[in-house]
Amino acid sequence: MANRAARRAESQPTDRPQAEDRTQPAARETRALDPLVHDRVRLGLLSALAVSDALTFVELRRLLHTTDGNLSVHARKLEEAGYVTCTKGFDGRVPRTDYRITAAGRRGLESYLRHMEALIRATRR
Amino acid sequence: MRPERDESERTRPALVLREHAADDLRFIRDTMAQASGRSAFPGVGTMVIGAVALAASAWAADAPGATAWLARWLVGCVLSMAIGAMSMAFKTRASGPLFVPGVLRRFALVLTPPIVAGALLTVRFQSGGRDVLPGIWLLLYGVGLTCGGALSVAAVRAMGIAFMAIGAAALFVPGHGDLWMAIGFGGLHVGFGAWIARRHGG
Repeated sequence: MANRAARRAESQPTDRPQAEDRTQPAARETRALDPLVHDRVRLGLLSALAVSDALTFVELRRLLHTTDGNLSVHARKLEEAGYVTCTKGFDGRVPRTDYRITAAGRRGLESYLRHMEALIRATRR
Repeated sequence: MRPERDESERTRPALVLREHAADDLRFIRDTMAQASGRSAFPGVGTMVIGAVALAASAWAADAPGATAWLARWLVGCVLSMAIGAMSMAFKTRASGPLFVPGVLRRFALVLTPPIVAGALLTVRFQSGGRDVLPGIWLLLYGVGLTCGGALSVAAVRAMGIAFMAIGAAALFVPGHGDLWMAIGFGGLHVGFGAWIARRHGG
């Protein structure tokens, strides 16, 4: 028992720097995350639009299981940042809002994905 | 015991970060898969399939016998399946190579059972020819679309139900096989294809 404890104590100094190394790059990656993309609704909105030509407000609301108010607030933030474009029109007499991702939005999402992958790699070491 | 606890306390933030990052990636992947599945159904491709079916129904109406009639419809069927797969892959190209096979696989999984059932019933009821087969084909294709519509937009489910209705009509009002085929595979594809293209893109 005593031997085992001694072995643990001996191994500790070599383990400690590894554990610290594991959190430091991860913390760097976390700080580098784009707060605009990090929110769950905005992340979902960009992910959905990245694989579609355009999606309507109703389609996005159904897809992301959110409310009208919540979705419109997050969509406006992305629109103000130039990550999505919004086109308002009519489908017959029914108002219709189409959203499309912009090149900046696509770059933002790709950068976020790269950071997430780097974060996973950094914490695996 | 103390060093062990220290070690786990030091690594816990890293584990939490990794779990959070993995969860975010899963969420992105699931959202993309759902969105690409919803918008993958090709409007223009469906209209082209309708045009092929209209041409096939005119061609099959002139067929000299039951075998030639069946062969002409089979040519139309193979051509339509190729157009459908290509236009769906083309429409989902924006999803990247990761999602195109997934979308195609999901639609193939849903459509394959009714198509296999249709093939078996075609072999069994070959002699029935244009009286029996159009109803079977239209009905089973409608079943596939209605089920596949669960993965896609409402227009696909509506098209499936319309195919089932035309199929039922063809089964219970026989003698107009090519007309039912033209209305179903031609008219419904062109009509719903235009609707899908207008609302959800080509």
